[in-house]
Amino acid sequence: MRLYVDNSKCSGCNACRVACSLNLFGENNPKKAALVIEPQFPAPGVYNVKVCTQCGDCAAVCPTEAIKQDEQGAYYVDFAECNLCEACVPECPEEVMFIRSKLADTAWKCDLCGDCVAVCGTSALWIAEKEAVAA
Amino acid sequence: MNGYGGRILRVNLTNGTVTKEPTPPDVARDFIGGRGFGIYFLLKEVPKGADPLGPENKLIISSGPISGLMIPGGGKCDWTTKAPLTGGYASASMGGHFTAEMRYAGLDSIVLEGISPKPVYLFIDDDKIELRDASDLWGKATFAVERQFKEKLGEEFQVAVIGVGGENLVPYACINHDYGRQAGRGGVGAVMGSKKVKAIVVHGTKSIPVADMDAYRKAGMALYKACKDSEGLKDWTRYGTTIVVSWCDEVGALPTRNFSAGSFEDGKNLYGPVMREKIVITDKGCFGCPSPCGKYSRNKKYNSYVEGPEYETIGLMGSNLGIDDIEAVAQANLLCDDLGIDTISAGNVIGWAMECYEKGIFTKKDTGGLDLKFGNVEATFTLIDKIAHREGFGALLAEGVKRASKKVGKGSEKFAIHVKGMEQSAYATHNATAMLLAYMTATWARTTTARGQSPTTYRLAVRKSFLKKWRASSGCRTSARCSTCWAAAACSGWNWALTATCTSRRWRPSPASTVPGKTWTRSASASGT
Repeated sequence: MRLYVDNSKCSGCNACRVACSLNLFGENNPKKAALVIEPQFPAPGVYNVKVCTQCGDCAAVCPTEAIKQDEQGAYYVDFAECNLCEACVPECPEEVMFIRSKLADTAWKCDLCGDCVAVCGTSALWIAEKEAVAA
Repeated sequence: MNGYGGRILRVNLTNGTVTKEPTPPDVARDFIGGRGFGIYFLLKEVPKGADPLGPENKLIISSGPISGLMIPGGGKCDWTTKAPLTGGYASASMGGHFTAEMRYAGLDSIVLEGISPKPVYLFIDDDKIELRDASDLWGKATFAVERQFKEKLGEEFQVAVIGVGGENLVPYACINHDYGRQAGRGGVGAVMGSKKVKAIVVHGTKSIPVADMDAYRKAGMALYKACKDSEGLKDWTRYGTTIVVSWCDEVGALPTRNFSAGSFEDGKNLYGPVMREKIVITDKGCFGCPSPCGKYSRNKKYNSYVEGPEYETIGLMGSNLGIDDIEAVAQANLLCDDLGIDTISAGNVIGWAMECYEKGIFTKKDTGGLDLKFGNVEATFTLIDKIAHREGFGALLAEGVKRASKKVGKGSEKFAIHVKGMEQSAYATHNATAMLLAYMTATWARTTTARGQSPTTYRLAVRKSFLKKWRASSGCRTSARCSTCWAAAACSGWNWALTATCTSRRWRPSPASTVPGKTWTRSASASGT
């Protein structure tokens, strides 16, 4: 399973990012979310959303094996084992693997909790089997 | 403090100092936030008789307790001040992401005091708060300045900026944010301009504390689910505020040719579905909104991009000027945004000028050669520019319709459509009587956000028992509910959303069943006004 996004439906409201930070850290703070919205305004007037594809590249390079896979195929960060070495960050092809030492003393990424999908009012986000793109 | 950023930021522009003070818990309890905070500080700190554009006036920017949380509708930011347009109180509401970002920087309110000796912008990045020189930005258009900040600082910075109109103290100058969101009414932009503040940029990385995390997340999720499941919100989300155009046109509440009629023979070209089909490219939501009413448009005819137009811009820059081309309306909207003047007041005052011209009160000699007939698109564009720059004929219109008509005389005061000096927003009230009552009793003149929005205002098709309840208590209850809504810096659209979730029917104004009156024109109406 993985998270999919349809940029054309995104209205840039950021509800997904607040829901994400609440799931990962129990905090209201979209700067600590695992998905990114890049507004492209005034032209061409679209929101470019970056989401984790659960490709596993981050887990493959993690020296402490802090990035683990759960039963639905999601790679998640075991906060207790992350040593902030930053090996994973440059590996992420979607740029949604995060370490920001000012904000948290662990790396973080999408763990496929689905809260972003639940709050997205325009159904721009959905979770499906990999390869199955249609919503 | 749970639910709040916790700090009030005071910016003394006269001596260039910034100080933070804790948000008083008793004020938070009694006044909630948003408009409530604005009024609290305004009444307490601005002396009677203060010049709206002088050093004694203050500009108070406030977020509310749900801003930045996982609760729908918390995207509004309140800008309160003593208004240069009316000399009374103004409280402009701006959507977008500014209010949430303020709270992530730990701020509930920003109070701008005094007058800066030179153009500055206020820079806020968490606890790093500075007044910086803005001499090179002075005179620049709003979109260019916002782009410049975002390129320099990053997309996560939120920018509020005034245009040339605000710099030139046009009493209905607005403040721009997020490429198309405005604190529009009352002249808050002129107050910011008088203080020599070109822009405010804010970025925050703090978390907002809440008292009961589990209960809050549960309630938040339930609200999002309710909004997503609501049939009532589907049309609202697709067409945004433009859904109102057809209703107003049908019942005779669409301001046409300076409010001389309530429906427009070519109004169909301005209806929401036409606009959606013709120019809208994406929905653009405020922070955390599950039913984004903001529409972002690609205007091929004029090769431009603009957010909107919203209903009131269509009403006043479209039908009120006799213009039936949605692309021309969108372009007029863009010009106003870029120059930093309010589309509602500008559309109203240009409509008045056009009626004066058609009645022979103005000739081409007065208008600087402009043929100000209703429907003249190019003349409208030229006037918008002249108003913002206070040039030639534009200088007169830049005074606002009350002052301009007083100066001109010759009976033009009779068709200057305003209350207490504020130009009426886009409802011809003969056939929107609840709106008329609201305009008359609202805390600050004829503006949409000042009155209590309710099913009775629009006569929505909602469950009968629900409507009865609303009607029984009329304006008082709706005003109270709306005031609470604005104090929480919550969106009135969300107020409607709550209403819509109470009904199984789709959100749709119901013209035939409710409004007895038909179309009317000023000449046909008994009062003649």
